[in-house]
Amino acid sequence: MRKMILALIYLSFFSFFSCQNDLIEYEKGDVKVNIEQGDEWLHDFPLFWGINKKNPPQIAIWLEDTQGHYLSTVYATHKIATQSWLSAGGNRRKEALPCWCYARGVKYEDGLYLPTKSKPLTDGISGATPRGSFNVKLKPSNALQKFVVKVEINHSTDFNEYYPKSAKEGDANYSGGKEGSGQPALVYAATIDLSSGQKTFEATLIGHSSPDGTSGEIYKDLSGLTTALHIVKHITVSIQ
Amino acid sequence: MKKYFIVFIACMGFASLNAQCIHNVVFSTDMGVGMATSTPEYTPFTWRVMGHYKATKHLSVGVGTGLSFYEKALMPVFADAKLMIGKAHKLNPYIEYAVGYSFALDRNANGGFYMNPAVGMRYSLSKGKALTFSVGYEQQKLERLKEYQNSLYVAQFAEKLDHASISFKVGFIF
Repeated sequence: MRKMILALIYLSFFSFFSCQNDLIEYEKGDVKVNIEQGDEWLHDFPLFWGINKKNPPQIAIWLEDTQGHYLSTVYATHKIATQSWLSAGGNRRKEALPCWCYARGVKYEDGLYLPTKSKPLTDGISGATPRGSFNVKLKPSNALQKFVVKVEINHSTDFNEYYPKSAKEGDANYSGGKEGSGQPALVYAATIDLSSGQKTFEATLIGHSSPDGTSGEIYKDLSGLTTALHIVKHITVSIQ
Repeated sequence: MKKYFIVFIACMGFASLNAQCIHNVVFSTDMGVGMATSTPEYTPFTWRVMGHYKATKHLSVGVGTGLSFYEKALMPVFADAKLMIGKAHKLNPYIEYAVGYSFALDRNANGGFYMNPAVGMRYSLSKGKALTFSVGYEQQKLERLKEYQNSLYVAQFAEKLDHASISFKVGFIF
């Protein structure tokens, strides 16, 4: 018995020398959506007794056609996809990624366009919130040639003087109260034409979402935004 | 070449341990579950086997391996130190710290850092044999491939998971 255990330990130590797999392999024609983290990617989220936790942002990536019609969600972070918010005080956080929620257009029992715990987003498109730069691979079918990649990104409790914690419901800068967003979500977009021969498309910041999450509208005035502008450095869509 | 050399040295080390110090080596096995404290949450099931060398009357150090079941099956390989507290009695408290790396058994996954500090009680049975019960904190990192397909595309991304849980383990020393 003891020899068997020793042999098992020997064998397991041999596995130290195995390699990590590259989980994603790109081939010619694949589309890589790359989100490069900015200086504000991790944000102090207050827990208790003045202790903060470094939180990464909530993200949704989806596709639209060039007329602005929603096609499909490519990726959404786990917390919004499954409503597994921590310390949100019961807030469903409709202000987190409202542009994506309204574009998706799925209304749930409580009237919100947010997935619920009992009806979460499909598991294959949701993932643990990445703590740094991140990419998604798309292998497009022939039906997908010209489309828009949209990315919405948001931190919770990212208050500043324009979007303060003290804003009251109904105020233009109300963002969900003390467990809300603070600065609203930002929306980036890149129009991709696979037949153009162009290899790299840079997503541009097209505006911010509704601060209180009551619509899917995009607001072009970015004057009240400060740190939120540095959550991401670049969003690039490249054709392999 | 360097890797093979290290493996050779490790094997020689184990072999010499086996030959010279086997009387000071104790083996143990444990299994347990965890209560998730992180999101995405997952309740792990683990089975471990360890060999410890009794460095002093109270301190033993060793290595171990086993199986951990999270979203993917993993094989942890770790170093482990166990410190018995107080004089030897029928029931003895101890503290333990395991740290290492887990390897994924699935090709669509990568393992990662593994850590399990714990406090426990050892209940002596007959000569050299004992039962253990421990409560600890387990951290396990891993990465897995996620995929979604529809009529427009196939999407893939690598999900990095950092699981934390309160672990509960029952073990046997022999």
